[in-house]
Amino acid sequence: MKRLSLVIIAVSAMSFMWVSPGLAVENYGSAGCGLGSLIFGDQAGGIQVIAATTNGTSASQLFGITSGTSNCEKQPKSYSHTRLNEFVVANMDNLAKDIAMGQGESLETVAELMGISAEEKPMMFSKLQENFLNIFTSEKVEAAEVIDNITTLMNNG
Amino acid sequence: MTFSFARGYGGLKRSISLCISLVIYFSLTAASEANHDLNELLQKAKEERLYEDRQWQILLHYKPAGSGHKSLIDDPIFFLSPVGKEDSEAELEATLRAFFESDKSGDGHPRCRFAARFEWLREKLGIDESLFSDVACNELENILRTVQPRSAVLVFPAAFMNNPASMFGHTLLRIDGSYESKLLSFAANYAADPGTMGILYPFKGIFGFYKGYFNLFPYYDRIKMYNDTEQRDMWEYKLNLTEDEVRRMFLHLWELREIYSYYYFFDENCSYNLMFLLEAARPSIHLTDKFGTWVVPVDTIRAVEESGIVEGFEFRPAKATRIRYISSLLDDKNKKKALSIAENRLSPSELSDSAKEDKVKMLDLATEIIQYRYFKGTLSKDEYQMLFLAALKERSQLGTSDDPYQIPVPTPPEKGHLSNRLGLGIGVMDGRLFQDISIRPAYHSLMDPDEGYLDGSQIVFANTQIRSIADGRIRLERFDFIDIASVTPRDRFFKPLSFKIKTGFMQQINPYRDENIIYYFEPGIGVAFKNKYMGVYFIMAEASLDISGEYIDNYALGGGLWVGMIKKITDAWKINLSAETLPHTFGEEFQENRASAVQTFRLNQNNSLNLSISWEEIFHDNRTELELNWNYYF
Repeated sequence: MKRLSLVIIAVSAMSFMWVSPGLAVENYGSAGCGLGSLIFGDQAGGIQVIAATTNGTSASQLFGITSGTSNCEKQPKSYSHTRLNEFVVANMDNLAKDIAMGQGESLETVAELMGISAEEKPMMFSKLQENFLNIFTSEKVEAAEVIDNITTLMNNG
Repeated sequence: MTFSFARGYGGLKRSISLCISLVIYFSLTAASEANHDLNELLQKAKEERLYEDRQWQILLHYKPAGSGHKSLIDDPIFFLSPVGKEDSEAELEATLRAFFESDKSGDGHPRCRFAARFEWLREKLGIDESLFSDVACNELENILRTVQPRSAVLVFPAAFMNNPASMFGHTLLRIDGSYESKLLSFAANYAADPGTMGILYPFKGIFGFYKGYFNLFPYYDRIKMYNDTEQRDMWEYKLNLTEDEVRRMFLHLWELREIYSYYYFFDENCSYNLMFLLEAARPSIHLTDKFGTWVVPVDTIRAVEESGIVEGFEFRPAKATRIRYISSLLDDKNKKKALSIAENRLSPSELSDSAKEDKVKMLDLATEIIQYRYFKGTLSKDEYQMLFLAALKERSQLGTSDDPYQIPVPTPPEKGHLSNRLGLGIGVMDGRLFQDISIRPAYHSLMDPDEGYLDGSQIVFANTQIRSIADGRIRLERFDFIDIASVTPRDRFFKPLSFKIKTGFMQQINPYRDENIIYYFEPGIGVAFKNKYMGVYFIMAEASLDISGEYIDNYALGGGLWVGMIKKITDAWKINLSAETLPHTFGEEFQENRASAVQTFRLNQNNSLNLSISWEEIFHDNRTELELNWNYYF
């Protein structure tokens, strides 16, 4: 039956290709350092429409569980925790947003990875929010610096 | 105030010790003794007919084929016996023998490579682990330590804006560990690996030219992809699998890594293959034998729900959904200001005359739009960094919002009408009574109830309508091969194009004041808007190609306009109005005009009524039709 999965359907799938307005993401893959570097999931660009249509993805990364590698090789001086480093590298923009808003899932995640207790969290969040500019010191700030800046703030309570 | 970060490691240590260690200690058992034990185990497995056991059938993905069975896995590496794909008994025997191999060690050893098979056989046969030579599965242990599989969640990224094709959706399986934050979970995904995508991509996807693989991603990566880049809302269905079951599932996933099966878009697709993981977790549920030749991802959600393992769901809105929601909380003037900030026409510091709560919302909205514009490639990285940081800097001075955003949860996709439709209709056409029967294998049209579906999207395959007219004639009224439309309103923040494409056969008035069946092809593109009173209204430019033996040179080609509106009056009642004018100027020359008004009444999830009146004029001949249709979705 499946092999008969109708030529019709193939034709229709073909027609999606030129009907679907592609959401071109030229910036995709712009690694480098700083905000906006690893903001995308692994797949974006004009092909995404087609890929979503047929549930395909570029599976070059077959079972890689580490993500968030970038061209930035700096390691945080203060605090070493692989999951934390990986997370901040890959989610720096959302973390910046959460810190500026004083709440959010990425911020909760960082607090959890740093072992902050539930009672201490509100104080931590408002402190980080107030010191936003001391954490995200420039557009080119790297994840390692963000972690160090957070650590310094927390230790100078 | 000082925080001690050292405490942070407590959680991690605990979880490592909770992980069941898989290290098998070195044993000096003599080879002959091992052989002796192996023979006993083989004997026992045969007596108990373990190769017929459901768990074994699941782990090897066997499905009935002819008089026997065949595995859906295509990669020969997955089978330890050369005939393993078709012979479950030989495969089980070969697997047991492979576990006792002493010429391999470490992660390459079958005992590590096929960890789920090993665990199951060890339990079933009471294998003494000390019999094994020094096999240390370091890689597996590492990954178990990182993922810490404890519970599982089925994830469905819904259709994405302005792309009806994506209504078929996708499913993935999230594996939660001991962290509270779900961003630290991992998601298992089955997908085709097309290498470079070319023009033949859809063909190849459908006919199984691509290899499908399982992969595992950090969940935050999938969220970024679906929620942020593709603007798809995500539905997360919590499963009641126990920790042991989830661990078993994970071991099976481990076995499947780098193993391929040929990928078939319509049946052996992402959603179908995930069902094997759920069965491996709990063999008593039957999922993979439930589907026919057409596996629509949302139907797998329904099947999983029916199997009783779903405990509840959560909704994770896309960035576009967030933007729409926050903007709905602001008045027009403030919406404009937020947009101006995002477009670098207003500095975030110039909002000082606004109330604090409004300022918070404007800046939050501006931030989301800045990110959205960057994803779309409208902003360069430098512009993005500058605007993003400037908005956040201002935002960080305002404290937390008193009123955190509670985005309303829409109807979940599995609560929408089912995918197949049967329609029975009765009507009058120019004074003659007629009856219709129609059948449509997939999927959703603008005239169907919207609940659970993306508003303004239509994707119809092979809609077939047969009409019996009072004068005794029975004829094929229409066969819509494919009929896709996307009517997505433009607003201040989003500027999508609307489009349609339809092709098939239908009865049409011919030059001889009669009707005959013609082939048609009609693509169109345009824009839609939304307003409180009119609902969604649209205008599209369209082209039309008709092919018929009754035409000069057998064809008619033209272009025209299509306008319409869709107004939802209540949750269960909506109206579609449309009008179309199509001058055909090549081949057979004629003017074609149509207008229709269709009302849809939703009775319940799987029943609806359509009341329609339509008029058409072709070759200066016209016909008017009034029809009442009952639709049943199954």
